[in-house]
Amino acid sequence: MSQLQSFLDNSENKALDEIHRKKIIKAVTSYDQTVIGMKSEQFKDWAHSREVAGKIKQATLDRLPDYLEEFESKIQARGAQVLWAEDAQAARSFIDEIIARHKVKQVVKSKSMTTEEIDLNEHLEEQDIEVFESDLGELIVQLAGEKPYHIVTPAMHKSKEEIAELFNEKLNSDPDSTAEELTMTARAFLRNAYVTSQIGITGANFLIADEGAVVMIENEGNGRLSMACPPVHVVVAGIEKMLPRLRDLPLFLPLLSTSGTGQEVTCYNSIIKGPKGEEEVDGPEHMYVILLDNGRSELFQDEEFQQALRCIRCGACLNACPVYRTIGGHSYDTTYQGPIGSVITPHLRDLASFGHLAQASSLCGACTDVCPVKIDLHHLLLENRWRSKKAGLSGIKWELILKIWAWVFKSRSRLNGMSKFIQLTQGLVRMLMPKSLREKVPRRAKKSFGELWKERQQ
Amino acid sequence: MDMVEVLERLNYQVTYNPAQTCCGQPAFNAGHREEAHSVASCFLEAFKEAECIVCPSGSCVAMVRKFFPQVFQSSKELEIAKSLESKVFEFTEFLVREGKVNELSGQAEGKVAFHNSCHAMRELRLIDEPWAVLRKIEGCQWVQPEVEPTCCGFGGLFSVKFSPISQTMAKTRLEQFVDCGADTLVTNDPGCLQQLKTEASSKSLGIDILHLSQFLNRALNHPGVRS
Amino acid sequence: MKDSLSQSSTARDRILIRLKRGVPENPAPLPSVPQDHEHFTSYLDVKDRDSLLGRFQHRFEALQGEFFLVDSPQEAGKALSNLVSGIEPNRILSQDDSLIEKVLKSSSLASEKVKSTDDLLAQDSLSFEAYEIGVTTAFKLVARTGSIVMTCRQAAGRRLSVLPPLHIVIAKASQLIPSWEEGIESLRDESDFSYASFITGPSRTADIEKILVLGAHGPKRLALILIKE
Repeated sequence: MSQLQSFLDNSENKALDEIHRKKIIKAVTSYDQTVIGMKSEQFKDWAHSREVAGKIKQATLDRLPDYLEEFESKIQARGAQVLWAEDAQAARSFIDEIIARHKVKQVVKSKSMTTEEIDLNEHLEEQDIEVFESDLGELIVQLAGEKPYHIVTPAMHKSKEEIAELFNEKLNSDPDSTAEELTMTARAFLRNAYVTSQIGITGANFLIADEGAVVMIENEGNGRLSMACPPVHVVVAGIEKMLPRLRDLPLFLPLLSTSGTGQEVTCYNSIIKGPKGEEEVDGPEHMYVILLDNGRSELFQDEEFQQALRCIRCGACLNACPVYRTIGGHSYDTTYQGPIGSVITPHLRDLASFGHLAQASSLCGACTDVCPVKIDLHHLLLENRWRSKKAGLSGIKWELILKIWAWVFKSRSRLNGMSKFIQLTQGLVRMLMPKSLREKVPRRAKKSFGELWKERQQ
Repeated sequence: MDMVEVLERLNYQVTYNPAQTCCGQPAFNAGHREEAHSVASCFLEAFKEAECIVCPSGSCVAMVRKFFPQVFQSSKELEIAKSLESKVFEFTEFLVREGKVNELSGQAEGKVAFHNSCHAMRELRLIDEPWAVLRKIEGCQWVQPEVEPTCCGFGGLFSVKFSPISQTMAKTRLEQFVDCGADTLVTNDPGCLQQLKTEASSKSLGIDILHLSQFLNRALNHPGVRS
Repeated sequence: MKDSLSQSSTARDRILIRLKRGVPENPAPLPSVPQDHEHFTSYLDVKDRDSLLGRFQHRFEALQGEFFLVDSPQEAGKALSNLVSGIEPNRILSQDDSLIEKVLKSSSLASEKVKSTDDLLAQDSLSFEAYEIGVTTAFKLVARTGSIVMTCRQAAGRRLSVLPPLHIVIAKASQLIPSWEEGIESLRDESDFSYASFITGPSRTADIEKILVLGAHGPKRLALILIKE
């Protein structure tokens, strides 16, 4: 089945799923309240701060190759190894070699969208490497055999009852567990994994050029444990994660946590500058930073779309999007869902398979309004539609419909003729329509504005 | 016609060029810029002499003001297109700009809510303008959902291509208004109007949905208004 | 690794070449470093310790941090005694530090041998799992958000401050600073560390129906004994 067809099927199923709709409305309503509150509580002028953040991020992109090189030389000077992966396959091969070198049998991971992007879990499991997802939301979707539903809150679509049932089945916990008991079950389940895994794999929220640092934010502590306990720490980071200066963090960290979860700052904001230093007694012996391109450098060269690489993956555009709220994260069938996903996926993967995502939008612009780095998301969706059309991907049906439409609307007399025709035939046509369609299609007004105007002038 | 009547009441001379068709937005938003261009050219032809264009839809205004420069880029008509940018106004935007709001006095009943169209709200940033006009209507109780405003799900061809998504969006939006107790819903775009009306009638929701100009015209002509 | 490394360096070149093609000829200047007072409502434009302390305590307690304000290391010992009561002394691990030692001497643990990370190192068995409590110092305390800044130096590495379920921090009021801006600035001066963290409250999650639960994977409890002196 084509991507488009499966999108149409899945999105329709979700749109009609009343239980799903109620769950998501509940989650985004609570998100909205917290985030709106925190924006005004913490920021003097949110609009100004996002303007500044957007400018810093854009200026970073303007100098990205220099910053990447600076980052590389600084972090390598502290003993980390930097590996440049052009695509998912290259990134997986690096990890394979690290695994072989350090005789790894078991991996503990903290939440990372880049590892989702390269399908790392499936790849490792094929080689009988045991993978522990340690973020609670990620663990839930891993146990359920699903993909993350949301880039920030992976298990947003699951109710407490569903999770209790899942944990009961997989982890043998009480089927009536509360949220707290479920969290403690996950804690107990993973405690040993940190200590016995030979490598910890994490993502990065920011890469800092001037200090050669990786920055990671989280609330649970699983990220800290993943980079503290195992002897090897591997970071998989997109090349666009860069910020020029450590001193940019006092703005970007609160900006990200406010947009992401409505927190002033997240519980842990960690700055990692390498493996354990020579004078230090505790910490990983080895650190590898895999810089992932995977289509980003192509997107970077696209004048219109480069700005999409400002994204700091806060998830705000997903939460704001009425389409995301209706069809849920899984319908997209992409690593990055929602508006940002519909903007970048056709470029990072391919336009023919994912171009429809840009069509599946009312272009309401809610995403652009909430983006903390001012990516013009809904206009980029519009741009993607134009790209699809230019690439001849509209399909014969729509090509024809719009050609006819333009032919009719180019002339008032043709339009009037068409209008009269519809008026005369609508009774018959409506009779032939199935009832469901008849309810949706409005009747033509008895008289058009033009006709009324003419009568009025007489 | 309601908009025309309101404007005439405010002593404007309104003309309607029967040759006009469409601004070309449906094709433009579908990514079909050539088709949009050919239809938008007719728009330029019909309106190039106009002193001021008032439109009961923020969506069409956004097309002319914000997207015409893209449609006509590297085209001879670009100059004419740009000259229209400052001449085209959404209805409430026009009333506020002209300082006519204080001349309005109207009456309505019931619990009334307002749905601002996304294009008016986000492309044109018309957030206060519709309210400046609506607040002049007395006698009714203004109610508004507590949640952030969301799209009604119309989105032009989107509602045809992805109708299940579009309909559920309309349902969600209408639910917000029903939940806050509104018996009348006013909106400022024919697209939203049609979308919400269709959904409301298919669910037999007892809520009256009107275009802002229609609501306004009725309120101005209300027998309770002191003239 | 040799093969893939050379592969990585050609990949590196190719990525950089592609990126350089997308770089503008005359980029806009990089905006100056963002200033806290420009962005945040809660920026404290004060250096006096009482305001900093008030703000810190307010934020720290709002996030369920356990806050103990004491006048001296001796009093700190009492606060520590209360925190550790009921816990076997051999389940407590501390950082090797003179201030902590002073506080321990005034506590119920005075006569006990509380292990330090150096003891573990001497035994060549850096295993932290058995410990219920980790005791560390702090690098700075940020008033605006009630955050404890810590590098691997103050915590003898990375595990002591995150693996034990109760993390006790012993710090001095002179370590209070107003903002993250100053916290980051001090970290830049203190360049010799591989790891630093801004810790704001005990570990938490809201991954299940957005219900807040403390103690997801990191410490379930975070306590700060702050010595005024």
